[in-house]
Amino acid sequence: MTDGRCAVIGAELVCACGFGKEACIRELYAGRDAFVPVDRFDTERFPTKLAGTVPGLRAKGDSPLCLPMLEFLAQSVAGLPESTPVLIASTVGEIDRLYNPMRRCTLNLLREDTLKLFRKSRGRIVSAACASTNAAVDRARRMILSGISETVIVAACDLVSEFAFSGFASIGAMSDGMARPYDRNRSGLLLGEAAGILVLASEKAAVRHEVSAWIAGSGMSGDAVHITAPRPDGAELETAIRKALGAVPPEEVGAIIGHGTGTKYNDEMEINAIRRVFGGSIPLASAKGACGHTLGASGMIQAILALEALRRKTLFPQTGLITPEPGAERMVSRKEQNISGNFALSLNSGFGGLNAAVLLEARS
Amino acid sequence: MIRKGSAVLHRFTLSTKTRNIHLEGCDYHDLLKQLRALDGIPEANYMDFRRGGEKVKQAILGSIAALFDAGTAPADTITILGCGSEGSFTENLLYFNDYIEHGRDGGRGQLFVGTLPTTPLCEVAIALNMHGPAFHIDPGSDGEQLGEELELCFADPAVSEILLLEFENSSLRVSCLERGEDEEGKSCVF
Repeated sequence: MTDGRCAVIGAELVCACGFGKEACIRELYAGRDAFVPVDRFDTERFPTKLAGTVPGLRAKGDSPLCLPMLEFLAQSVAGLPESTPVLIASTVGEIDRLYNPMRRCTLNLLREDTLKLFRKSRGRIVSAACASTNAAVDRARRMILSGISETVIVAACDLVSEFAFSGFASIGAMSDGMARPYDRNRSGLLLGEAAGILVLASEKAAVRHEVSAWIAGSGMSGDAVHITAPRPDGAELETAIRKALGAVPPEEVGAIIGHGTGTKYNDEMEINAIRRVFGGSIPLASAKGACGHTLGASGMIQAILALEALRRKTLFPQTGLITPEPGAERMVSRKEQNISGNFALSLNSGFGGLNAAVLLEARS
Repeated sequence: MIRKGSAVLHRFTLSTKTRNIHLEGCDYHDLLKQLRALDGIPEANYMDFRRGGEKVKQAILGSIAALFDAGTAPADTITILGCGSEGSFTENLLYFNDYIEHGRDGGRGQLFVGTLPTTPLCEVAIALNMHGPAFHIDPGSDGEQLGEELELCFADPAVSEILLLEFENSSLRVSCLERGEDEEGKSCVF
């Protein structure tokens, strides 16, 4: 039983594995990473040259770098009415246009470009740091359940940029090796970029479409302890998880696609939160060992992998893992893990202690 | 929904609507000092504004004043919602210009953490120890979408109030909203 669900009737993705969600699914289930040396800016002064950049992504002239990704995604929403609302998840938007002549916010520019390319008349940015996608899914689900709209598009986009690279280096969050989420010897994150869409619909409207899965619940919370570090015991992420679960017993959740950045503090907090709700043996994996930390778009990759996990009844292997973090030994694996239960959980946590959880349910 | 209380900040002046408070300071610290001297100001971890920039200082001052104006204590059932098209553009430029001016030889982390539109909202949550949802929206010029988002927040029975932060042209309006209609049966309009 859930307190209201909506259907996933469309999903598409661009990430470091390539254009199309199949590329991401193929590479992650094969346990391969997609990191390459960055050639967009000079990385000499940074701890790493590696990032999960989208292969072949080039800006056309002065146009923003996200445009080719949005153009690709636009095909998937072309059949939806112009009035379909779009919720756009991002941390900083078109950050490559920071010095735009209009002197406008780069999130605002992303909103305009997304609506234009998607040929939709209505939409807004939803920004909750690196929890932006899950926050946007939460808002979209509530829009549908409250009857505001029968169908909502959730879009997400964030880029690998010198801005983010230098920033994460400045706070000591980047790895000088590989990204190893949930590994005992993890040393930080590697950045990535992604854009994607989910199309959500009411149960009534979903009758006319093929349903991939259901969004069965969602919840948000705030640590309110530190502007960059999470609350170590995971108590507030636990709150978000329990909100998302609603009346669904934890034992019915078969897998968790975690935020898993590969930083010491995030992964420790997340493992603690998961143990508080599920004990220590639920299958867990993070996409960031393969695609990098795609900031506000992280939850989009995770949602698409959750759909696939529920379809296959297996969870992708943890790329980058060598030795599991103590406490996660029976959660993470270098091998594909079988899952039981009809639900999968996707977790996001961001700067400022923002947490957002989304519960997905397999189609019956 | 009803606007229980609100505060408007413009530079170093702060005024509230319900209690009709008007404060003028020589800087944000002075303003905070004056605000804290008022009887009934909510308990908060002020920490001298932590490391925040101007927007963070405004957000903390405005939120404390709006809650005071509404007679509402900080709570985990309060959702913090930021709205506006400015986002964190000024802070993004501040960080990246500083990084470039220093020869691209390491950004300053203190400036980087301020580059998200949710930073002021999270600093408010930290100062007031509130653990509810916090997020920012930019609906462009479509004001109806803000009203829609507020209704969505109140559709969740766990939400008691919304602290709405609207930044515009170096000013900030913070409103403390609750469900219901005013004495004339009207909902506040956004």
